[in-house]
Amino acid sequence: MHQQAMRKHPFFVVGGIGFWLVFVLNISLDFFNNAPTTIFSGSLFSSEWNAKWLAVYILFIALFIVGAMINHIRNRNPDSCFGEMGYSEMESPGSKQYQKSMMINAILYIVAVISSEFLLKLSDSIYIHGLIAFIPITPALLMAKALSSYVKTLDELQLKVIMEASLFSLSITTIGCLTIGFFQLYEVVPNFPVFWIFPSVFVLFGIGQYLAIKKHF
Amino acid sequence: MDNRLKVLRAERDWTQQDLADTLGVSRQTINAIEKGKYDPSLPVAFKLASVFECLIEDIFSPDNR
Repeated sequence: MHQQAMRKHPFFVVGGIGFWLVFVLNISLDFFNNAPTTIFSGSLFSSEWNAKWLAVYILFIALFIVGAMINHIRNRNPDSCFGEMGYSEMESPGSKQYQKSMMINAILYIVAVISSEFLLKLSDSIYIHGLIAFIPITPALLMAKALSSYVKTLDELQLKVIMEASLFSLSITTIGCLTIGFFQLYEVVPNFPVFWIFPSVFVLFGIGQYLAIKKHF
Repeated sequence: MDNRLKVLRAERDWTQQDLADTLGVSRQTINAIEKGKYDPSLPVAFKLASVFECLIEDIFSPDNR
């Protein structure tokens, strides 16, 4: 691959931004963890282990948003640098609405996860905490609904791409969960937060879709 | 499978988008069929035959490679 093209490839752009996001988030979370008087002293931010995984978790979402933004920019300008790679998004009547909806809901999801941290401080009631736990679920459900509506606008080859992407995402996520499960069982790692599964499914789906598009188109 | 889709389309001076709109599929699917990267389903193959007013065998043939 040509060096100029490599620099412009979406994966390199996303990877580069993702690396810096993790770096900055780790430093920020370490700072918050070392300041016990801050509001971040409870729940998700309460241990170094959780803080590290929260950073990875937010990275997944951030990668997703950046990927959606790159798609959005590329679609607005077909002659942009991304066009040179020969990579093309699946064209369908619902694709623009899908990208817009996913980007908005991913941002809402991050806002919901972080704001729920603040809301937890307002009450000690387990019932209220239960209700707060549902806040990030709403944008997650809207993302699933957007995907469902998008799939209805696709033709047979595009559905094949979606199926291959789904299988790619499903297989890696389930094998990953199984591996982590054994790690926990044999006490190699402590408790592992399962909320990262949802964003990882979507990010892996995006990667799987990219690979399937490269293969079929 | 080999196919003569590109030739048939060129004879009628249609773009990939024109054919895609007629068949109700995406332009990328037409492109993938022309390149031999994707073999269409029977309903799409019958639609193609109907659009080009010929038999399916006139468009598609077994891969000779």
